[in-house]
Amino acid sequence: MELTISGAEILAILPAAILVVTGLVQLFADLGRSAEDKHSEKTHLAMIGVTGFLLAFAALFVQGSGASAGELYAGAMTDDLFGRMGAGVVIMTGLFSTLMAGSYLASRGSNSAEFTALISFGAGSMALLCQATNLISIFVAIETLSLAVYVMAGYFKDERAASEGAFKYFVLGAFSSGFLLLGMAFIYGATGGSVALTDIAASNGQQDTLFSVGTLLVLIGFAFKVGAVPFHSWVPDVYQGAPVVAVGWMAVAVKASSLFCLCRFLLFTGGGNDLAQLLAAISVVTILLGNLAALNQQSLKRMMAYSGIAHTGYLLIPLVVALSGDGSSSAASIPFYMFAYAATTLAAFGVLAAISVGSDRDQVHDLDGLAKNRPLLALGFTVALLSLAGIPLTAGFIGKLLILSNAIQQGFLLLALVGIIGSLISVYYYLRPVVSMWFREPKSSFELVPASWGITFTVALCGFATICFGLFPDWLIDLSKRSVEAILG
Amino acid sequence: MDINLLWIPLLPFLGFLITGMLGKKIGNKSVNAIACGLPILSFVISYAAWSRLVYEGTELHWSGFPWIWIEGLVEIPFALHLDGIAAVMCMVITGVGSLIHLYSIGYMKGDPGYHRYFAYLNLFTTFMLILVLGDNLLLMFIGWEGVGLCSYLLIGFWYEEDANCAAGKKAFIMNRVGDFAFLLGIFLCLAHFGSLDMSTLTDATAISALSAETLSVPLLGSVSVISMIVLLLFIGATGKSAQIPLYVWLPDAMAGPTPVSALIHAATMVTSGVYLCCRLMPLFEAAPAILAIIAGIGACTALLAALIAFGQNDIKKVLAYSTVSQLGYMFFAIGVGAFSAAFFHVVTHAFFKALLFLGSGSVIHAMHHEQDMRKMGGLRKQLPFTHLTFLIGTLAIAGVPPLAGFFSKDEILFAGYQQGFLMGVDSAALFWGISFLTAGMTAFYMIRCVALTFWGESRVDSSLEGKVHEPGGWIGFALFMLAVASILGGFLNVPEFLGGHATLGHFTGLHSSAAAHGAAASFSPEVLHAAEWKSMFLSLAVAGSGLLLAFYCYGKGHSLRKRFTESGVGRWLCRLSQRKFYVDEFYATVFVRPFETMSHLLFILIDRILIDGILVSGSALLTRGLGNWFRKMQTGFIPGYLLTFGCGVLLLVYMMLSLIQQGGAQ
Amino acid sequence: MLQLSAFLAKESSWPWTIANTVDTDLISLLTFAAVTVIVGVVLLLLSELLGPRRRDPQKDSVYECGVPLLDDAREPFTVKFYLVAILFILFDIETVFLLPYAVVYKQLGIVGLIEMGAFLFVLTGGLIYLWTRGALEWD
Repeated sequence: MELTISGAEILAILPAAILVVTGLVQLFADLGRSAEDKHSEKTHLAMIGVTGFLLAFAALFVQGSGASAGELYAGAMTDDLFGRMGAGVVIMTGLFSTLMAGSYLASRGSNSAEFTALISFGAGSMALLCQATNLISIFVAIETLSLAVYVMAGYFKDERAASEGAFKYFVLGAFSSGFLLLGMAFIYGATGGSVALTDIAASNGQQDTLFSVGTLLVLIGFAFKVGAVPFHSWVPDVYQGAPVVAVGWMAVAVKASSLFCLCRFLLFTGGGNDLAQLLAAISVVTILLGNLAALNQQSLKRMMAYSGIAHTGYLLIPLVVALSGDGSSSAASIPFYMFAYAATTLAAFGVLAAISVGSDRDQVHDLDGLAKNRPLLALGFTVALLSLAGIPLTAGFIGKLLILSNAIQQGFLLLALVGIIGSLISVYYYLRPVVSMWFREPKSSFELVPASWGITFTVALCGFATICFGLFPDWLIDLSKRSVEAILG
Repeated sequence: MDINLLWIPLLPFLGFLITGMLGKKIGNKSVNAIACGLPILSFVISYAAWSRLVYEGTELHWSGFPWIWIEGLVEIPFALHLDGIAAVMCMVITGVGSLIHLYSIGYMKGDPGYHRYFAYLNLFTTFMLILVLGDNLLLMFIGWEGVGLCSYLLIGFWYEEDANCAAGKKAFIMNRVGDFAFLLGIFLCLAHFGSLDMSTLTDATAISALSAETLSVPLLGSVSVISMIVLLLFIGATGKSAQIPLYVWLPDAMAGPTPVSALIHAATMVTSGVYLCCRLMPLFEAAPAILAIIAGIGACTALLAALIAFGQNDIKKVLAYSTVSQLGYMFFAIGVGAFSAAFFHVVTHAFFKALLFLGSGSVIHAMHHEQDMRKMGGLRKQLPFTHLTFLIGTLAIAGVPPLAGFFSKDEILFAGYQQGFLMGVDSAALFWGISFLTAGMTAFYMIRCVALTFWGESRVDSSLEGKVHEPGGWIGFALFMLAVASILGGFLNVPEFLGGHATLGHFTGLHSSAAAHGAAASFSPEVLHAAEWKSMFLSLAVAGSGLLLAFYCYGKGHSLRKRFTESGVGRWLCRLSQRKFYVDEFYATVFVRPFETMSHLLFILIDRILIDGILVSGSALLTRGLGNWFRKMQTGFIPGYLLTFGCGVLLLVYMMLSLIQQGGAQ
Repeated sequence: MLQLSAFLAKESSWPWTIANTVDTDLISLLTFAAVTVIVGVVLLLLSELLGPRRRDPQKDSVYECGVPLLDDAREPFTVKFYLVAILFILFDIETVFLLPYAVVYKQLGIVGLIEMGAFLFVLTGGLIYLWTRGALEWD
């Protein structure tokens, strides 16, 4: 058998390849100067990273050969619009995380070279995950991205909370990977040995119990990655210990790539009504628990952790709708929501990074009077929080509106009601920091190190994007719709 | 040249933005230039639009953009339209408005809220223009609410004093009562006409198509839809235009700066109710029963306000009640079908009432914010120019020919006369009688006001001795311009029997009211003209006797006055007038206090116990309790996490299998 | 409950009367798993609920043949062992890939060579990085 590779295949792997090479370059560029200048910001690494991410992003645009499903790499990968949108979210998130990482880590006395390299490696595997179309490539991509993220979670290896979080994450991650793999094995068995999603969809295994349980187990594996209840326990601990920038990166990129992949997987395998009901149950519990547990958190990071859990719950709603009956086009709200969520969350974590530069501040009352000292940051954070709460004129509002209106249209009233109740509850804890920032007097002991340009730039741009997606959502909604149509064929 | 109508309201709005946001930074000089310049520019554009209408006959239209738009269900554009009525109103608003802006430069000098004041004034102009130009009821409502807001802000402009804030709130709440009815009227229109466009609402076929439809209303039984709409819109108008029963806010609104009283509470905003009626003339004419009510309310308001005006000692209160009274005239005119006369009176009233207010402002300014006429007197010598212009305004409002008020008031009275005596409508005859009496009373109390302020012995406080002198500059300029307008304004609409062409009536298209057609169809021109002459002489006579009596009472015959006020009936009447017929007290007992008691009760029952106690605290406790519980589940131990994980997996798989079982069983 | 009683009454309906739609093997596997978990949980709960709780230092100490404890038995290894172990596995896997490749390298042609080269390049790059960083020095 002669092994050949086509142009479209090279282009398909190009973004991931560029990112991996970027990571290597970042590692080696830092070799020359080691321990002595640990504390400097290392702008050149950020520049390499930015260049790599921009190149990878550009590479997304040269893809799209229109190859039919199952054509590239014998069905291991695709270059359809949906995958590229997912990769786009991941790459942009990586870009901003790299921009923020340098100054934040330097201020904490950490070496940023390995961190930025990890972002690049992770981004490469995430891009691959978004474009993966068979069980093996999905698994490999998930595992590689997880490795990168485990290390980042424990990046402050001298700190107890970081090591603890990372260790928990690793153990639980391994546990969940076991279920993922078991599920894949079940599917493999039930379909008589197919790994490519197209083959799985074509086989008649859907009626089989083995197949259903397999799908469910795969779903559980993903549910762990996106932090859905009851597989969410790791989220708060990991968020607490990990560097703020890593948290932002995890919150957006891991969730985005996993959800894109899960969405593709479920759209292919179907799974039917039963799975939809289970998913609905997970979604309800996730929304309620995430929002309720966030209510009393004093730590902003933990609050964001639970808020992230709650948003996972919202994101599962369109999957439920898509799985049951003819609502598959409702999956189109997922890409939009992910874009909105990415912009919003990055802005929020940019501000968290800015206030915790040089210290470990992350309590709500640490924000007191921020609007007086740093109006731009306060404004960015306010926009982000309002968007997370789903207040109109922001991207988060449109995202929620799409999800909930779709659910209502397809008759999932109860699910939509839970979503709305969750949003109502969430307003309380999202507005608490806003009150702190704008209506409280700054503490005298509160000294803010001026945020680096990278962080300021990220906050400004992501805040701006949040508003833009909120005011002019049409093109993005349109793109999302087309991307989902591309999978459905 | 193409004229975009949007510029007319947009320019003052720009002024509002600039003076409101940057006012403190750019300094008072620039505020003056921007806040006055932009309305003047707006006036120029209105003038251009008006002349297009006059010379080319094109009604300008700005189709705007779709605003509230549900295809085939509710289609409301954000569109502006300029027809004859709107053109005249625009000219009045921007013209008189600009003069008052200029006047304010002098009046508000040195006030700490200088730029805030001009920002509000510009915002008011914007909303007033939107009200006038809006091509549908909803847009008009936006302007309607907007001017209410500005009125509230400006009444309470000197918010350090509680009384001013209370007056602002009173105005706002009274208006809300009317606005509520207005809003219901809008809903009814939308439900039955299916559109809020002015062209649809005034379309004869659309109205006649609806004429048979009825609504069943609690208490009133079955009412025709048109009547209900008109009634609701009229109730809205009574709020804004200070008619019985909602007039009590207007006298209190005098707490604001005097130029504000001139602009908002005399010349423009309070006439928007009349404007609404004129704009929807065909609709109002289709509800004759409601028109009769309107006439009655108008005439009664005119009389009641005039009676109260007798007993007031605050110069601005007198003017305020005269405004209410004149507004009553306008509604009386509408009630008897004389839309043209009503609108004419809006215009002339804008001139002379603005003049009177600005004159009183000039006095108040000179007297260092003293408003009590008992502490004035003899100011003719110190303030000769103000006296002259104030007198012109007084004669104009009293209806002395050939000043502005004469023509418009005469037209109104004739309309009543015509309907009451020629057409033989009894109620109209009665209301005409009331209005007729009021005309004489108007002349009397206005001369009383002039006499107390400017004539006779000086009662000025000795501390002000020598400090009272004529304010010059912009104040004088504005007074002069308005005096000229008050003298000449009447010639806009000289009736045909006096050799005129009723220009304004033709221009606005209001002369073709059904009442006018009806009269023209039943009577020959000769009969009508004879009646017109007769009516004119009657009104001249009553105005003249009012004037003369007042001259006598406040000149040589003050002993007569004294004897009257000291007699039993006289004292009782004076007291009644001074205390405004106890209407405020009546409202307080009947509406406010029971409402307060009920609110307090509900506050305790619903707010404190049910909402705060059970719903808010309860749900907060519940959610917080749940939150704490969830938080405690987060123990931090890996075995615990693994256990949760494993149980979750088992539960889900079990659920999956039972679901499959159910599916298989079916 | 109803199902359970039905199961108790009629053994042929094992398990839960869903044998017609679900593979019996799978159900027994699941039951086994459930029983394992339930027994674990129940035992933990029982000892937690029923067990007397009178603590003293003597009782809390680790039992070691009656001799007082010198040190914690769970002494951590130095991380270097793990590093070497991980590197061993890594290069083990390299071999696992290389050996089969050696068998079929002709059939895979130039593309296979490039792919293998990329694999080795990344692996070697990692090794060089570690070496330069000093991670392989044992002291």
